[in-house]
Amino acid sequence: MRILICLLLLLLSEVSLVAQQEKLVQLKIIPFFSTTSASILDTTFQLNTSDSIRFETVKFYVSAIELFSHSQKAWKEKNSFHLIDAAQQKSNTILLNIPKTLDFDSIRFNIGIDSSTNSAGVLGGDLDPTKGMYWTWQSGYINVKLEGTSNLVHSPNHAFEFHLGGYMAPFETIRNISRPCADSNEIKVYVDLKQFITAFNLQETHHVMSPNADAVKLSELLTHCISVK
Amino acid sequence: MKQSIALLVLVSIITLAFKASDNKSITFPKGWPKPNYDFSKKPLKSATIELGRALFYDPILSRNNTISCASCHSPYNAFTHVDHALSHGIEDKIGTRNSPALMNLAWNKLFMWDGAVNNIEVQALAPMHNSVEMDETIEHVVTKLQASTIYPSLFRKAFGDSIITGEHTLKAIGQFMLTLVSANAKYDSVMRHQSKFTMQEENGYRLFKTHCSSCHTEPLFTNLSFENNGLPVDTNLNDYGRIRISHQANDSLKFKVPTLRNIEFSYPYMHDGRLKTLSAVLKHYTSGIQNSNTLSPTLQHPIVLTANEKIDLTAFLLTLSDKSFLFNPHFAYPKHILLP
Repeated sequence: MRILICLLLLLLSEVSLVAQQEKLVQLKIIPFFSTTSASILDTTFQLNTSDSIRFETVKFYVSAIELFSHSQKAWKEKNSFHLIDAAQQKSNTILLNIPKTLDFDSIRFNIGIDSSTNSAGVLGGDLDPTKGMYWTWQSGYINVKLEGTSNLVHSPNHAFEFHLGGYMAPFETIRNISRPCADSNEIKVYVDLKQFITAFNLQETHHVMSPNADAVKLSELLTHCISVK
Repeated sequence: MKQSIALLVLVSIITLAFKASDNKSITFPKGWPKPNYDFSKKPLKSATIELGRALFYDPILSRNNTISCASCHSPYNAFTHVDHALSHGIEDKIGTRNSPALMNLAWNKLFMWDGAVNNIEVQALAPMHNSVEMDETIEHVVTKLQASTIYPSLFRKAFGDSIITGEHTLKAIGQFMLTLVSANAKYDSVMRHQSKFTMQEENGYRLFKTHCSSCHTEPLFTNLSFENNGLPVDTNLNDYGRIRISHQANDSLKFKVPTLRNIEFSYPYMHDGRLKTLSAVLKHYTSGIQNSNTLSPTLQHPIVLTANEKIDLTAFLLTLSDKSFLFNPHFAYPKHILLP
């Protein structure tokens, strides 16, 4: 009996020791257009003096978050799948529980969902198909969903729809982002949607709804619009 | 103290044993290949299968609560839609394909005629969201199920949680579909040396092995590949099959090789149901093949069969009918749940 109590106490002290040895890092994902002070959804932004744009949906997956120190992997988040949804304020902040002694100088993560997860059957949490980020006519996650309107688009209601996804060759759309970052308790990831939207011709390309060459091209363009501070 | 520890150990063992007894796989004959679905990682559970069965037969999955999975996959027709070349869904809207017969799905790697779906657990999303099938959304289905009087308790039994999610809904439907194993036809009893083919069936089996088995491979009677079997393109449907998903030019006009099990009951035949009878199917393979770049290499030369050989081959195909599958009470409409 005494041995059991001792073991239990030892276990509890270990648990509290582990808890003490962790620190919390807030990873904030901030999609913005021109300015971070305006809400990305339902705000009309000027593209130039005559053209404007408005977003109704800004959703994307951030997955496989890793912290690096001197180019060596120092920490990796378990079960790392996060749906960032501009309509859900809370979803923009990811809490990372990392060892207190861990120093890091860069961060890596994916925009999108890896191919094995795409084939793993039905999953829950942020990966639940009710989140509206899973295709139904064929299997696979939508990595990035951007919907809205712009006078530049000559479609019904001037609507644009970008559902970027695809996990099979030749249209793999997951992209790994690697950026230096300061060792701090807050990491801010900025997603510059103005830079993205103006990097291609919106008048010509305004509906991408399946895994294809345009989805690959736009997924690649988006990687250049991500900065970490 | 010792006693209480012993009691604790005993309770743990009983709990574990109980848990293990409910974690099950499907049963299938010796000598069959290993299923593609990994039951060791994702075991079946009786309560989940029962929930999936209720969902399979419940029109609540469609927008106006009129179409269930069973509408196009009826058990007595080998879980397909008999009598209709192109299956019809909500408000009698017509689709572009004949609903596939559902059986032995645990061995499949890809689902649908063009392999659009990569896992049985996400398969039901396709008809649920298709505007001419169920025209519903998984989000709304979850809301309807949560508000129903029967489902929250069924989900609690199956998943230990009465909060309904898309994940649990689809997983349950998938588990029920995985149990649809057909392995008890006359053919199977002959293979087990428990009965004998007639001379006619025996000759048909010989012809089958010569002309058909490279694609309709035993014991599943499909090699699970995608093939162009020489059907001319229907210019109204313009359905080019697998290429839509794979984007590979050499997949043009390829469709999934269907199983021949229970073929007596799964008419009409082909991805668009264009052939009504088995004799029409044999006529296609002997004199109707249309050549094209992607035509299956095994069909480059027409199959030659005499009239009597066609009869014998048909007699063999009828030995693939599995009444114990078609009329299995565990696969039937769950009256006790849906109409208590």
